[in-house]
Amino acid sequence: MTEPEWTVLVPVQILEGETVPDAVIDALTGLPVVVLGYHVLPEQTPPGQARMQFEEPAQTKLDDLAAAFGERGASCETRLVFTHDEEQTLDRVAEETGADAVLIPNPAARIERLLVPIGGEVDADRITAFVAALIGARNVDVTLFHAAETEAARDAGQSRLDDVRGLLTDRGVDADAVRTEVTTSEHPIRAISTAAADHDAVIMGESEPSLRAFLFGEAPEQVAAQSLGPVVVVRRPRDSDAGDEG
Amino acid sequence: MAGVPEEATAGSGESANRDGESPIVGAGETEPEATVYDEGTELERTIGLSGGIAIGVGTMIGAGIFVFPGIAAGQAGPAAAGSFAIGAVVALLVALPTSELATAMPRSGGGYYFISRGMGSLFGAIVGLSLWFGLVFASAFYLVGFGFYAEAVLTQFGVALGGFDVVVPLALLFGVFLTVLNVTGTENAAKLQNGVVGVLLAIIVAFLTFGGLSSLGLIGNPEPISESFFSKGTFPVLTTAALVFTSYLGFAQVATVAGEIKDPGRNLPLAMVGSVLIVGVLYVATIFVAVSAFGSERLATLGETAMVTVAESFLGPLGAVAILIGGLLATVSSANASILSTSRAIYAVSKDALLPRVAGRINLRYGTPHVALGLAGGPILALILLGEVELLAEVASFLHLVMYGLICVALLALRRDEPEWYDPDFRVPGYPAVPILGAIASFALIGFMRPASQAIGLGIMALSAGWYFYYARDVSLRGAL
Repeated sequence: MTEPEWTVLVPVQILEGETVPDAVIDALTGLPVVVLGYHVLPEQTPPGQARMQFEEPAQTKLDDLAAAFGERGASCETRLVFTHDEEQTLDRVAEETGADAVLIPNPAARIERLLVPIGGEVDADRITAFVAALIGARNVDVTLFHAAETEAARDAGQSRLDDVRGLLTDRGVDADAVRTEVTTSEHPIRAISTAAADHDAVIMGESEPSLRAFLFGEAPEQVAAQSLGPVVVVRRPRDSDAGDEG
Repeated sequence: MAGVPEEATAGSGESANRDGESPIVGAGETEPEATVYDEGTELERTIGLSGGIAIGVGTMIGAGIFVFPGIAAGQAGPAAAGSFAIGAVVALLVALPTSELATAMPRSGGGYYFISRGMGSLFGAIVGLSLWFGLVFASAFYLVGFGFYAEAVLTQFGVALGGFDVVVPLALLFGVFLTVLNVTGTENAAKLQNGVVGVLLAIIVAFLTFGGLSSLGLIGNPEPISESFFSKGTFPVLTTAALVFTSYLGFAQVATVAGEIKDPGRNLPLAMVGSVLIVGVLYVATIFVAVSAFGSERLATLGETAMVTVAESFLGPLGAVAILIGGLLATVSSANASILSTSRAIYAVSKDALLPRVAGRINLRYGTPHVALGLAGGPILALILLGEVELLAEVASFLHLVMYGLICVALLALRRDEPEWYDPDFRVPGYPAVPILGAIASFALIGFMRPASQAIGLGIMALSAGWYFYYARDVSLRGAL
């Protein structure tokens, strides 16, 4: 597998006062970033009508944000979208910009300790490649985390984490900076959120579509909502531009 | 034509209204899921094909099936089915040219946008402002229809009305409710609308199946009704077609959301033509079944809610309840879709500086266009007080038909001397016959309306023209993309 350039999409509800914390901007220096300023409208409102009224303030805020990236030695591309459908917009822009990871920009004072949950379905190769690229030469601690459903499954979890740790150190991450943690819980998302409280940010894989995700929101969003910290979602590789009809 | 420069000077200082506002132009690139403007701003396209058809069918189906059968049968006899067929043909003749223009200019505003760009701002203003009132008349008509159904529901469940006429009060109440809901409601109702249309189609298809079997003598014990098809002569078929044309207004509402339709080159024509075909077939079949079961005389005495009695004869109380529910859902969905279209029509003209820009303001708290919704809701309530179903329907049809005729003319004008920007994905089959026939048919249908409706329609057009000359005569829109 060749090392791709990891593009990170940073969606910001620009007119709702969302912004990107400085610590997060610092952490993203070195990776290409696309800041997506967007505004979600009720269906009664044509997006063009909102553009008429809100384009200027939105663009100004977005430019300010881009300037903040510039000041901290990072660079970013910006997009401004008025939409009825947040999910469609995020998917489309991620697709168009070839973004491999999406940031949920919760506040953070510093980014020194990352939590990387490794569940059953995670593409460990992809996620470790991203974590290694994100850390670069910085001095950041990584916790590889696994929530086993039963006591009996703990050993398997631990050996999985040891493998993943090997992948990380192979990619140049300092072995001393990586620790592993296995816990037992029937509610993996709750366990991750609890563990996240001791960390500055969470890096996790995209969850498979499921009934659970439909009812409670996707796992990364739940973790972001419960832990109140930034979460980076590493997207599954997209083989083609499989467009969907709505 | 207005004495304004022909080419796209819009946006420069010359093209301004009395308040000094200029049209906001700039076409942007149409991509399948977004419109991208030069400055980099993108507008997401979020309505798919099923959503587009739901808007078309949802707007139309309320009137044709649940309000008109009794009235139409009374006027035209069994040939009322023919009146609906004529309406469908006219609607198709217009839907095809509208589709071509919509794929060439997939922007909010629909027919108004095409006419202002193809024929200049005077015609644009007349159509744009008339469309506002046309939609207001249509919404009022649907809401009065709703009132009749709500009254029938109360009667069905044995609520004593004490001799009061509750139709108008109930229509008013719901008019207020829908307006307020649209200003304050930020929940996504699109999925609900799709569901409502699905339920309605299911009810109607069930009704037609039972009714069809019954009229063929396979179930029930129908009393054979022998009535000559043209029991009232042929002329009433045409006047009735003019009246019931209100049942076909919805396809152009699909064009008012053209700026939000995904993959517009494909989905706009399919949604417009498809929704006309769907409702046209259902209308003709419904009238046919209803008339064969009851005969036109008896149907006529049952008025706006005739279908309830018809369904009761096929399926007993269950049928009546199903049609009552269907009627409530259909009239509400039609009214709501029309109120939303009105708001979009007002936005389109205010964007082009034909109305003060404040008309397109968005509420900061709810993110909804509260001024435009108010400009829709207020006049609707006033018209409901009229309570005249047929007058409301005809004026709505009149104002839409003027627009339809001019859409066809705009297509002919654009095609005769195609501007460089004109590049539709869909081209009308049978050009130039289809748009020429569409224009003739639209204008001809107006001729069969009652003088009162014609006078009101012409008055609204004259007022629109007067407003244009007073407020916005320096605004230039022709070719201003």
